[in-house]
Amino acid sequence: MKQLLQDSWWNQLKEEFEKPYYQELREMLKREYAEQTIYPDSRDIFNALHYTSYDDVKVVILGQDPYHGPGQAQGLSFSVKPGVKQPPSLKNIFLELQQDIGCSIPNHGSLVSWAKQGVLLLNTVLTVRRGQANSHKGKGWERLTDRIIDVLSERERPVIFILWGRHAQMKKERIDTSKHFIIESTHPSPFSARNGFFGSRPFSRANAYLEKMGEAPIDWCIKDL
Amino acid sequence: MLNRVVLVGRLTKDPELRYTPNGAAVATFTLAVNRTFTNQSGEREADFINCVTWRRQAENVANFLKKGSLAGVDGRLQTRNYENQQGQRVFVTEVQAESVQFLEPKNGGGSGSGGYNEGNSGGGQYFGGGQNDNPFGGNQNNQRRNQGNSFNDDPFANDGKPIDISDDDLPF
Repeated sequence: MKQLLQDSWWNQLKEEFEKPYYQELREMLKREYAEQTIYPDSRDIFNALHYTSYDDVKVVILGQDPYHGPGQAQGLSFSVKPGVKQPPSLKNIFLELQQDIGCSIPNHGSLVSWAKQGVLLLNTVLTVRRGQANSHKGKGWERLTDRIIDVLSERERPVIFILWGRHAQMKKERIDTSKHFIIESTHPSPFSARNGFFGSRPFSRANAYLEKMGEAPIDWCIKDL
Repeated sequence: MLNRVVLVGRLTKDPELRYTPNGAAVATFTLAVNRTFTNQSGEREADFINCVTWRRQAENVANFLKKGSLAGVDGRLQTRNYENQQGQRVFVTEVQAESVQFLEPKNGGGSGSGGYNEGNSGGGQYFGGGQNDNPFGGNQNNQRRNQGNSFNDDPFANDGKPIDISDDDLPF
Protein backbone atom coordinates (compact mmCIF):
# COMPACT_ATOMS: atom_id res chain seq x y z
CA MET A 1 0.00 0.00 0.00
CA LYS A 2 1.01 3.60 -0.54
CA GLN A 3 3.12 5.18 2.17
CA LEU A 4 1.01 7.89 3.77
CA LEU A 5 3.41 9.16 6.42
CA GLN A 6 7.05 10.08 6.74
CA ASP A 7 9.36 7.12 7.39
CA SER A 8 9.65 7.52 11.16
CA TRP A 9 5.89 7.25 11.67
CA TRP A 10 5.32 4.81 8.83
CA ASN A 11 7.71 2.31 10.41
CA GLN A 12 5.72 2.53 13.64
CA LEU A 13 2.22 2.53 12.23
CA LYS A 14 2.29 0.74 8.87
CA GLU A 15 0.43 -2.32 10.11
CA GLU A 16 -2.44 -0.21 11.44
CA PHE A 17 -3.23 1.05 7.98
CA GLU A 18 -3.61 -2.51 6.73
CA LYS A 19 -6.08 -3.56 9.41
CA PRO A 20 -9.76 -4.04 8.57
CA TYR A 21 -10.87 -1.17 10.83
CA TYR A 22 -8.74 1.31 8.94
CA GLN A 23 -9.95 -0.03 5.61
CA GLU A 24 -13.51 0.52 6.80
CA LEU A 25 -12.67 3.99 8.04
CA ARG A 26 -11.07 4.70 4.73
CA GLU A 27 -14.15 3.63 2.79
CA MET A 28 -16.27 5.87 4.99
CA LEU A 29 -13.89 8.78 4.38
CA LYS A 30 -14.00 8.29 0.64
CA ARG A 31 -17.76 8.53 0.81
CA GLU A 32 -17.73 11.45 3.19
CA TYR A 33 -15.21 13.51 1.27
CA ALA A 34 -17.13 12.85 -1.94
CA GLU A 35 -20.56 13.72 -0.60
CA GLN A 36 -20.09 16.11 2.31
CA THR A 37 -17.90 18.96 3.41
CA ILE A 38 -15.28 17.41 5.64
CA TYR A 39 -12.53 19.17 7.60
CA PRO A 40 -9.62 19.41 7.46
CA ASP A 41 -8.68 19.20 3.80
CA SER A 42 -7.89 15.54 3.10
CA ARG A 43 -4.22 16.38 2.52
CA ASP A 44 -4.02 17.91 6.01
CA ILE A 45 -5.47 14.99 8.00
CA PHE A 46 -2.07 13.73 9.18
CA ASN A 47 -0.38 17.12 9.49
CA ALA A 48 0.49 16.51 13.13
CA LEU A 49 2.56 13.51 12.04
CA HIS A 50 3.99 15.34 9.02
CA TYR A 51 5.27 18.26 11.06
CA THR A 52 6.63 16.26 13.98
CA SER A 53 8.53 13.05 13.35
CA TYR A 54 8.34 10.14 15.77
CA ASP A 55 11.87 10.66 17.00
CA ASP A 56 11.43 14.42 17.40
CA VAL A 57 8.36 14.29 19.64
CA LYS A 58 9.10 15.98 22.94
CA VAL A 59 5.62 17.04 24.02
CA VAL A 60 2.16 15.77 23.09
CA ILE A 61 -0.90 17.99 23.39
CA LEU A 62 -4.02 15.89 22.93
CA GLY A 63 -7.15 17.38 21.46
CA GLN A 64 -10.55 15.95 20.65
CA ASP A 65 -11.69 16.44 17.06
CA PRO A 66 -10.90 19.06 14.41
CA TYR A 67 -12.59 22.44 14.29
CA HIS A 68 -15.75 22.11 12.25
CA GLY A 69 -16.03 25.64 10.83
CA PRO A 70 -14.88 26.62 7.34
CA GLY A 71 -11.18 27.32 7.01
CA GLN A 72 -10.31 26.59 10.65
CA ALA A 73 -8.82 23.11 10.90
CA GLN A 74 -5.26 22.52 9.73
CA GLY A 75 -4.67 19.02 11.04
CA LEU A 76 -3.12 20.12 14.32
CA SER A 77 -5.02 20.05 17.61
CA PHE A 78 -6.15 23.49 18.87
CA SER A 79 -4.43 25.24 15.95
CA VAL A 80 -6.28 27.23 13.28
CA LYS A 81 -5.05 28.46 9.93
CA PRO A 82 -3.71 32.01 9.87
CA GLY A 83 -6.40 34.53 9.08
CA VAL A 84 -9.07 32.63 11.02
CA LYS A 85 -10.36 34.05 14.30
CA GLN A 86 -8.82 32.40 17.34
CA PRO A 87 -11.41 30.03 18.85
CA PRO A 88 -12.19 30.48 22.57
CA SER A 89 -10.07 27.57 23.83
CA LEU A 90 -7.07 28.77 21.86
CA LYS A 91 -7.51 32.30 23.20
CA ASN A 92 -7.36 30.87 26.70
CA ILE A 93 -4.26 28.87 25.80
CA PHE A 94 -2.58 32.10 24.70
CA LEU A 95 -3.70 33.88 27.88
CA GLU A 96 -2.18 31.14 30.00
CA LEU A 97 0.97 31.26 27.85
CA GLN A 98 1.20 34.99 28.53
CA GLN A 99 0.78 34.48 32.27
CA ASP A 100 3.10 31.51 32.37
CA ILE A 101 6.02 32.55 30.19
CA GLY A 102 5.25 36.15 29.25
CA CYS A 103 4.72 35.54 25.56
CA SER A 104 2.71 38.21 23.80
CA ILE A 105 -0.53 37.03 22.27
CA PRO A 106 0.00 36.36 18.56
CA ASN A 107 -2.16 37.94 15.87
CA HIS A 108 -3.10 34.52 14.45
CA GLY A 109 -3.91 31.06 15.78
CA SER A 110 -1.51 28.75 14.01
CA LEU A 111 0.60 26.50 16.23
CA VAL A 112 2.85 25.23 13.43
CA SER A 113 5.93 26.65 15.17
CA TRP A 114 5.23 24.39 18.15
CA ALA A 115 4.74 21.39 15.87
CA LYS A 116 8.07 22.01 14.18
CA GLN A 117 9.85 22.07 17.52
CA GLY A 118 8.59 18.67 18.61
CA VAL A 119 5.13 19.36 20.00
CA LEU A 120 2.82 16.70 18.59
CA LEU A 121 -0.57 18.38 18.30
CA LEU A 122 -2.70 15.28 18.05
CA ASN A 123 -6.47 15.06 17.95
CA THR A 124 -8.02 11.72 18.89
CA VAL A 125 -10.40 11.97 15.93
CA LEU A 126 -8.84 13.35 12.77
CA THR A 127 -11.80 14.42 10.62
CA VAL A 128 -15.17 16.05 11.13
CA ARG A 129 -18.19 17.06 9.10
CA ARG A 130 -18.73 20.74 8.63
CA GLY A 131 -20.74 22.16 11.50
CA GLN A 132 -21.10 18.85 13.33
CA ALA A 133 -18.68 18.43 16.21
CA ASN A 134 -17.79 14.81 16.98
CA SER A 135 -19.50 13.62 13.80
CA HIS A 136 -16.64 11.22 12.98
CA LYS A 137 -16.29 9.96 16.51
CA GLY A 138 -16.34 6.17 16.91
CA LYS A 139 -15.53 5.49 13.25
CA GLY A 140 -12.04 4.08 13.80
CA TRP A 141 -9.79 7.11 14.25
CA GLU A 142 -9.55 6.44 17.97
CA ARG A 143 -7.88 3.09 17.33
CA LEU A 144 -5.24 4.70 15.16
CA THR A 145 -4.58 7.59 17.54
CA ASP A 146 -4.50 5.21 20.52
CA ARG A 147 -1.83 3.30 18.66
CA ILE A 148 0.09 6.55 18.16
CA ILE A 149 0.00 7.13 21.90
CA ASP A 150 1.07 3.51 22.48
CA VAL A 151 4.12 3.71 20.23
CA LEU A 152 5.14 6.95 21.94
CA SER A 153 4.68 5.32 25.31
CA GLU A 154 6.91 2.46 24.14
CA ARG A 155 9.67 4.91 23.26
CA GLU A 156 12.62 4.94 25.65
CA ARG A 157 13.26 8.68 25.52
CA PRO A 158 10.60 10.31 27.68
CA VAL A 159 7.64 12.23 26.25
CA ILE A 160 5.71 14.93 28.08
CA PHE A 161 1.97 14.45 27.70
CA ILE A 162 -0.17 17.52 28.25
CA LEU A 163 -3.70 16.32 28.98
CA TRP A 164 -6.39 18.98 29.13
CA GLY A 165 -9.82 17.84 30.23
CA ARG A 166 -11.34 14.50 31.05
CA HIS A 167 -11.42 13.38 27.46
CA ALA A 168 -7.64 13.61 27.13
CA GLN A 169 -7.01 12.30 30.63
CA MET A 170 -8.79 9.08 29.75
CA LYS A 171 -5.71 8.27 27.67
CA LYS A 172 -3.52 8.29 30.76
CA GLU A 173 -3.96 4.55 31.22
CA ARG A 174 -2.16 3.98 27.93
CA ILE A 175 0.91 5.93 29.04
CA ASP A 176 3.79 4.35 30.92
CA THR A 177 4.14 6.95 33.66
CA SER A 178 7.31 5.38 35.00
CA LYS A 179 9.05 6.64 31.86
CA HIS A 180 7.01 9.60 30.71
CA PHE A 181 5.74 12.83 32.24
CA ILE A 182 2.12 13.92 32.47
CA ILE A 183 0.91 17.47 32.93
CA GLU A 184 -2.82 17.71 33.43
CA SER A 185 -5.46 20.29 34.17
CA THR A 186 -9.01 21.12 33.12
CA HIS A 187 -9.65 21.94 29.49
CA PRO A 188 -8.88 25.49 28.26
CA SER A 189 -12.48 25.84 27.04
CA PRO A 190 -14.29 28.85 28.56
CA PHE A 191 -16.55 26.30 30.26
CA SER A 192 -13.73 25.03 32.44
CA ALA A 193 -10.60 27.17 32.05
CA ARG A 194 -11.20 28.94 35.35
CA ASN A 195 -11.45 25.66 37.25
CA GLY A 196 -7.82 24.71 36.94
CA PHE A 197 -6.47 25.47 33.49
CA PHE A 198 -5.56 29.07 34.26
CA GLY A 199 -2.56 29.05 36.52
CA SER A 200 -1.56 25.48 35.64
CA ARG A 201 1.58 26.74 33.84
CA PRO A 202 1.89 23.77 31.48
CA PHE A 203 4.42 25.48 29.24
CA SER A 204 7.06 26.27 31.81
CA ARG A 205 6.51 22.90 33.47
CA ALA A 206 7.09 21.11 30.18
CA ASN A 207 10.28 23.11 29.65
CA ALA A 208 11.45 22.28 33.17
CA TYR A 209 11.06 18.56 32.39
CA LEU A 210 12.91 19.01 29.09
CA GLU A 211 15.79 20.75 30.81
CA LYS A 212 15.95 18.02 33.42
CA MET A 213 16.22 15.53 30.56
CA GLY A 214 18.99 17.60 28.99
CA GLU A 215 16.89 18.53 25.97
CA ALA A 216 16.43 21.94 24.43
CA PRO A 217 13.31 23.65 25.77
CA ILE A 218 10.44 24.61 23.48
CA ASP A 219 10.21 28.24 22.44
CA TRP A 220 6.48 28.52 23.12
CA CYS A 221 6.19 32.17 22.06
CA ILE A 222 4.56 32.45 18.65
CA LYS A 223 5.63 35.16 16.22
CA ASP A 224 3.09 37.48 14.67
CA LEU A 225 2.45 37.02 10.98
CA MET B 1 -39.93 27.72 46.17
CA LEU B 2 -41.05 28.79 42.76
CA ASN B 3 -38.93 29.51 39.72
CA ARG B 4 -40.75 29.44 36.44
CA VAL B 5 -40.34 31.45 33.27
CA VAL B 6 -42.59 31.37 30.22
CA LEU B 7 -41.66 33.51 27.20
CA VAL B 8 -42.77 33.99 23.65
CA GLY B 9 -40.58 36.20 21.49
CA ARG B 10 -38.35 36.43 18.47
CA LEU B 11 -34.65 35.58 18.23
CA THR B 12 -32.45 38.66 17.96
CA LYS B 13 -29.80 36.72 16.06
CA ASP B 14 -28.97 33.19 15.00
CA PRO B 15 -28.54 30.86 17.98
CA GLU B 16 -24.96 29.97 18.91
CA LEU B 17 -24.18 26.29 19.29
CA ARG B 18 -21.12 25.15 21.19
CA TYR B 19 -19.93 21.95 22.75
CA THR B 20 -18.52 21.43 26.20
CA PRO B 21 -15.21 19.58 26.37
CA ASN B 22 -17.24 16.49 27.18
CA GLY B 23 -19.25 16.82 24.02
CA ALA B 24 -22.55 18.14 25.42
CA ALA B 25 -24.23 20.61 23.05
CA VAL B 26 -25.18 24.04 24.45
CA ALA B 27 -27.15 26.61 22.49
CA THR B 28 -27.50 30.23 23.57
CA PHE B 29 -29.93 32.69 22.08
CA THR B 30 -31.65 35.95 22.96
CA LEU B 31 -35.39 36.42 22.73
CA ALA B 32 -36.89 39.84 22.11
CA VAL B 33 -40.18 39.85 23.99
CA ASN B 34 -42.55 42.74 23.40
CA ARG B 35 -43.96 44.40 26.48
CA THR B 36 -47.72 44.30 26.75
CA PHE B 37 -47.94 48.07 27.25
CA THR B 38 -46.57 51.14 25.50
CA ASN B 39 -44.35 53.78 27.07
CA GLN B 40 -45.21 57.45 27.54
CA SER B 41 -44.40 58.31 23.97
CA GLY B 42 -46.59 55.49 22.76
CA GLU B 43 -43.82 53.11 21.71
CA ARG B 44 -43.89 49.48 22.53
CA GLU B 45 -40.59 48.46 24.05
CA ALA B 46 -39.16 44.97 24.21
CA ASP B 47 -37.08 43.04 26.71
CA PHE B 48 -34.08 41.08 25.47
CA ILE B 49 -33.73 37.92 27.44
CA ASN B 50 -30.80 35.53 27.26
CA CYS B 51 -31.67 31.85 27.13
CA VAL B 52 -29.60 28.67 27.30
CA THR B 53 -30.55 25.18 26.32
CA TRP B 54 -28.65 21.91 26.35
CA ARG B 55 -28.08 18.67 24.47
CA ARG B 56 -30.60 17.51 21.88
CA GLN B 57 -32.75 20.55 22.40
CA ALA B 58 -29.69 22.75 21.77
CA GLU B 59 -28.98 21.05 18.47
CA ASN B 60 -32.61 21.38 17.43
CA VAL B 61 -32.59 25.06 18.33
CA ALA B 62 -29.44 25.61 16.30
CA ASN B 63 -30.87 23.69 13.37
CA PHE B 64 -34.35 25.07 13.21
CA LEU B 65 -34.30 28.58 14.63
CA LYS B 66 -32.64 31.63 13.13
CA LYS B 67 -32.66 35.35 13.60
CA GLY B 68 -36.26 36.53 13.68
CA SER B 69 -37.80 33.12 14.41
CA LEU B 70 -40.76 33.12 16.77
CA ALA B 71 -40.16 30.76 19.67
CA GLY B 72 -41.74 29.86 22.98
CA VAL B 73 -39.62 28.98 25.98
CA ASP B 74 -40.58 27.24 29.20
CA GLY B 75 -37.87 27.12 31.80
CA ARG B 76 -36.41 28.66 34.90
CA LEU B 77 -34.13 31.53 35.83
CA GLN B 78 -30.60 30.68 36.77
CA THR B 79 -27.74 32.82 37.99
CA ARG B 80 -24.01 32.29 37.73
CA ASN B 81 -20.94 34.44 38.06
CA TYR B 82 -17.40 34.41 36.81
CA GLU B 83 -14.31 36.57 36.92
CA ASN B 84 -13.61 38.43 33.70
CA GLN B 85 -10.20 39.17 32.27
CA GLN B 86 -10.01 42.41 34.22
CA GLY B 87 -10.52 40.44 37.43
CA GLN B 88 -14.02 41.76 38.05
CA ARG B 89 -16.80 39.42 39.08
CA VAL B 90 -19.59 39.40 36.55
CA PHE B 91 -23.07 38.24 37.51
CA VAL B 92 -25.30 36.70 34.89
CA THR B 93 -28.97 35.86 35.08
CA GLU B 94 -30.36 33.80 32.24
CA VAL B 95 -33.21 31.48 31.42
CA GLN B 96 -32.46 27.79 31.34
CA ALA B 97 -34.91 26.73 28.68
CA GLU B 98 -36.24 23.30 29.53
CA SER B 99 -38.56 23.27 26.57
CA VAL B 100 -38.40 25.33 23.39
CA GLN B 101 -41.34 25.42 21.00
CA PHE B 102 -40.77 26.46 17.43
CA LEU B 103 -43.82 28.56 16.65
CA GLU B 104 -43.38 29.13 12.95
CA PRO B 105 -43.00 26.92 9.95
CA LYS B 106 -39.40 26.70 8.87
CA ASN B 107 -39.95 28.76 5.75
CA GLY B 108 -41.39 31.63 7.71
CA GLY B 109 -45.15 31.18 7.29
CA GLY B 110 -47.20 30.75 4.18
CA SER B 111 -46.54 27.57 2.33
CA GLY B 112 -45.81 25.64 5.51
CA SER B 113 -44.24 22.55 4.09
CA GLY B 114 -44.29 19.36 6.04
CA GLY B 115 -46.28 18.71 9.12
CA TYR B 116 -45.87 19.35 12.75
CA ASN B 117 -43.30 16.88 13.99
CA GLU B 118 -42.56 15.92 17.50
CA GLY B 119 -38.81 15.79 18.13
CA ASN B 120 -38.46 12.13 18.89
CA SER B 121 -35.83 12.13 21.56
CA GLY B 122 -36.47 14.73 24.12
CA GLY B 123 -36.21 17.61 21.74
CA GLY B 124 -38.72 20.31 21.07
CA GLN B 125 -41.32 20.36 18.40
CA TYR B 126 -40.63 21.72 15.01
CA PHE B 127 -42.22 22.20 11.68
CA GLY B 128 -40.99 20.63 8.50
CA GLY B 129 -37.40 19.75 8.72
CA GLY B 130 -37.44 18.68 5.15
CA GLN B 131 -35.17 19.91 2.48
CA ASN B 132 -33.06 22.91 2.93
CA ASP B 133 -33.50 26.15 1.14
CA ASN B 134 -31.30 28.24 3.25
CA PRO B 135 -30.67 31.52 1.50
CA PHE B 136 -28.75 33.38 4.18
CA GLY B 137 -25.10 34.36 3.95
CA GLY B 138 -22.22 32.03 4.58
CA ASN B 139 -21.75 32.04 8.28
CA GLN B 140 -21.33 28.98 10.38
CA ASN B 141 -24.81 28.84 11.78
CA ASN B 142 -26.24 28.55 8.35
CA GLN B 143 -23.86 25.87 7.40
CA ARG B 144 -24.79 23.98 10.46
CA ARG B 145 -28.39 24.25 9.47
CA ASN B 146 -27.57 23.05 6.00
CA GLN B 147 -26.57 19.73 7.36
CA GLY B 148 -28.72 19.37 10.37
CA ASN B 149 -31.52 17.47 8.78
CA SER B 150 -29.94 14.14 9.23
CA PHE B 151 -29.56 14.15 12.98
CA ASN B 152 -32.19 11.48 13.38
CA ASP B 153 -31.07 8.96 10.86
CA ASP B 154 -27.71 7.32 10.52
CA PRO B 155 -25.69 9.80 8.51
CA PHE B 156 -23.19 7.12 7.63
CA ALA B 157 -25.67 4.67 6.18
CA ASN B 158 -24.40 3.43 2.88
CA ASP B 159 -26.89 3.14 0.08
CA GLY B 160 -24.88 0.24 -1.26
CA LYS B 161 -23.28 2.05 -4.16
CA PRO B 162 -19.49 1.94 -4.22
CA ILE B 163 -17.85 5.35 -4.40
CA ASP B 164 -15.80 5.66 -7.50
CA ILE B 165 -12.61 7.50 -6.63
CA SER B 166 -9.15 6.62 -7.78
CA ASP B 167 -7.46 5.08 -4.77
CA ASP B 168 -3.97 6.06 -5.78
CA ASP B 169 -4.34 9.75 -5.12
CA LEU B 170 -5.99 9.59 -1.75
CA PRO B 171 -3.94 11.05 1.08
CA PHE B 172 -5.59 8.80 3.69
